[in-house]
Amino acid sequence: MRVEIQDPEALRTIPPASVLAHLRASGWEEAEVWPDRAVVLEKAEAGQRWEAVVPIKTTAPGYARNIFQVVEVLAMLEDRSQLDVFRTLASVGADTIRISARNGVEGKPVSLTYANGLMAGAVSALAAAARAAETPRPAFLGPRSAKVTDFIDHIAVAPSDFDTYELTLLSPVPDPPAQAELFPDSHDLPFSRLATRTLAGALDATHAAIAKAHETDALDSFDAAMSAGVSANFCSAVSAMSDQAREFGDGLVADIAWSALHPIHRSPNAHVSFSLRDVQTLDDASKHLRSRATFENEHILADVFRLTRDPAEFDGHAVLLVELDERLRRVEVMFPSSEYDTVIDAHRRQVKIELHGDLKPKGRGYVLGHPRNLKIVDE
Amino acid sequence: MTSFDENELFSLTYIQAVAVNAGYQLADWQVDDQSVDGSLRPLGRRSPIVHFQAKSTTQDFVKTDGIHFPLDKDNFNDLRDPDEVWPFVLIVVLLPKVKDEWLSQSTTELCLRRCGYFLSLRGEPRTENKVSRTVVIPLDNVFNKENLDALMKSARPEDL
Repeated sequence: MRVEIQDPEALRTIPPASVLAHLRASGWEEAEVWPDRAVVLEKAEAGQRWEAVVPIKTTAPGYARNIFQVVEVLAMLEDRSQLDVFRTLASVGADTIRISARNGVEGKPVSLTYANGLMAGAVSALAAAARAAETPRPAFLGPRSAKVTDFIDHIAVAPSDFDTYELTLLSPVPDPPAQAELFPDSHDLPFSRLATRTLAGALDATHAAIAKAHETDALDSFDAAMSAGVSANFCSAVSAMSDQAREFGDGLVADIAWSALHPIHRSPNAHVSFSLRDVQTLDDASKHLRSRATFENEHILADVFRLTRDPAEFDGHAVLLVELDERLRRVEVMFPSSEYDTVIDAHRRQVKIELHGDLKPKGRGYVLGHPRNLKIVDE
Repeated sequence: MTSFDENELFSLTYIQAVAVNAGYQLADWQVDDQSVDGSLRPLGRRSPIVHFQAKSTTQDFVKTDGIHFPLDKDNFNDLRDPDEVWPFVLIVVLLPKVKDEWLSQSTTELCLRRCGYFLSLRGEPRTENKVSRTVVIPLDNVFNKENLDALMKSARPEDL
């Protein structure tokens, strides 16, 4: 497609710093500075010298036209549509995460089911990486922190051509503090950058752990990968996306490109692929990691589904139904005798209870240890 | 189409005719950017550029010291903006009162009547007027090849 971009409001959203960062990253060299007005860059290509005059002040009356002129030149030199160039410039301030079907062959319409599945898997993978950026754990349960929720809420879906199997996500990277020339790779990173870096590390580590698991026929490699951000949730998400992409190709490819405005000098852009053969390993790894997790001091809201004995002979053993991560799970509990009456009353009246305890996976469900702060929730 | 639209279109045609004859072209950008109505650049080249705002009138604003043209205050403040990268000028095209006299044509000539004038307001103080600010365009500032060449030469900052 050769779509032209002529919307002045859209063009005005492109900051000069983004244009300059893209031009410099594309081999353009600074030729002149017009004080308080513009930076002129040049590039020799196709046998001639090209010039890009980048305006500095976004409030200048001709700003949109002047940016359009740069878009026009780039579209011609890079043999892309103006819309495509515009998208690139609009995303310069963000880390770009691309997820697509491996060896995907175009020519078949992208179904809503496929797009929805890929999107849901991407949200889960990003959330798992962000949670690991806070604290690496074998598995995550329950609501996300405000920081992780904020990170996910600020991820933008870049528009894509209608016939592509690629999902492009943009994670904006805030500007560093004015006094920092370039923020260091590991200190004072904005959380969004920390999360995308963890995502890149987790993708690499998962890929390496799969290779090791195939080699050794054991899943220990995933335990070691946990510190890089790999978790049961992350493995499940990557597995789901790889499986989803089955319709179009052999597995999944994930790329991460760092914002040109905030490059990471010591980390190369990430490029990892997973084949359909990896899906089973990822599912096994997810179960393996989840079995290692303990979720301490979880707040539980539950229905008393079953008492293992009649109320008259109740020994404290009950099965609760609890919604965990949007699914109803069975949770086994052994209550102390001081709580028998409360549990029996909740079961008889079919009202909810709330309590705290330490959750440990068991089969498809969980066991709740050290139940405490039990009370009936009268709705 | 209103007579106002006809005036505007005719003024753009006038500007384009003069520009092409002088070796420049109107950039075919449809970017409707604040007060900028059009951008001129050398034929076959991408820069330098002269942005312009086009106005036309059939009223008699000509006095002995120049054309006293009442300019919308927002347009004035955009045109005086010192942050604009390229020269950004006001072009006022004076038209005969009677539309039939705007243009005459024969097999030997095409005549566009009366004249266009330009004015740079870069660096003027902002106006706080509520509606408009009257600007005075010297009668020497004819929008013609010589003056357009000079404007293009001044587009780079060493001459600005």
